[in-house]
Amino acid sequence: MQQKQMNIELRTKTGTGVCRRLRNEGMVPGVVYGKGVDPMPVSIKVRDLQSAISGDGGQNNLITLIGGGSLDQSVAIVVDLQRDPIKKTYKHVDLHRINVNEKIRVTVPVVLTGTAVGVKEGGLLDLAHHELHVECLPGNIPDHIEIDVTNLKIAQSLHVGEITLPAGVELLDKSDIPVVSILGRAKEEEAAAAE
Amino acid sequence: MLMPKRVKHRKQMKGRMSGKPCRGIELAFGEFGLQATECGWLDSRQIEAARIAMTRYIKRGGKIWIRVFPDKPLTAKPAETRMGKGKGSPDSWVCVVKPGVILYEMEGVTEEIAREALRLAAHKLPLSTKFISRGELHEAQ
Repeated sequence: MQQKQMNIELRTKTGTGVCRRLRNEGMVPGVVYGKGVDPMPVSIKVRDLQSAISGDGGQNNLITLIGGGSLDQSVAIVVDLQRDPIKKTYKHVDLHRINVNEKIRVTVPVVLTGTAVGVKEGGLLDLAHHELHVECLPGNIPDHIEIDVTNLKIAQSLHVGEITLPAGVELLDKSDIPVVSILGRAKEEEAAAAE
Repeated sequence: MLMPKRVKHRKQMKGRMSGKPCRGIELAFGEFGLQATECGWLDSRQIEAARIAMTRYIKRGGKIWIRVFPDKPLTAKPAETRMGKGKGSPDSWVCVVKPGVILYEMEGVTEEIAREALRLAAHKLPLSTKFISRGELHEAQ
């Protein structure tokens, strides 16, 4: 997780036409909301938004908002980012103003390390969950969750409960959900099937 | 071939395909995917032909997901029939595809193999498509 800064401007007008004009001017319409605050419509320059969510942390980067009246110097996180399905340009962003001392729930990508024994034997590595839901303090959000699959054999799975997490991070997914599996038939089974 | 098990109404009206999709536009299962860049109808036979083309190329090496389902019935009149006498009988099943919808996803193969397999599959479809992979979202901006 990285700490980034982003300039924002408060906007008074809302609606389809206003948002469309903003996008044509190189801005992204957005909204900032959070505990004890009324939702506030904002506009952000595309480049600012892009740099705020770049890096390993991606959308989980903590963003310090600059400007925007009462929102100045508050910390937010991107909770939803709408993109054009073809061009992938940003259409709208939801920013959640957070308290750095309160736990939040985020999704963190899964990264696999090592080559599984089962894959070397001809199995297929199946990553069932590319992201996991975690709860932690904003300062402890991991960039990704590393899972070592080296010892995984054919027809074996690694479940949520078997994943080791950094200190202060809690998994919200059920512990019996398989995250990674090696698909395929073991050699003994194949031999038996051939007979 | 893909078709619904049971439907409420045997025949449907033609409908329109305007607008953009709001669902089925992100990779949900695999590492690579084939995304439609224009709208159109996909026949169940076309979906199956594309699936066979890519399955044969990857030779059981990976895993494939079909993200579209043909749930719209098309009707046709028999050959050499005079016009009139009502709507024809159900003939085939199609799915309505809007630009941006992910048609297929693939996992467990290298990018070169996935690219070639999905290129072969795209030749079986009546729509223009593009290859997408996870992690290229930021590059597109």
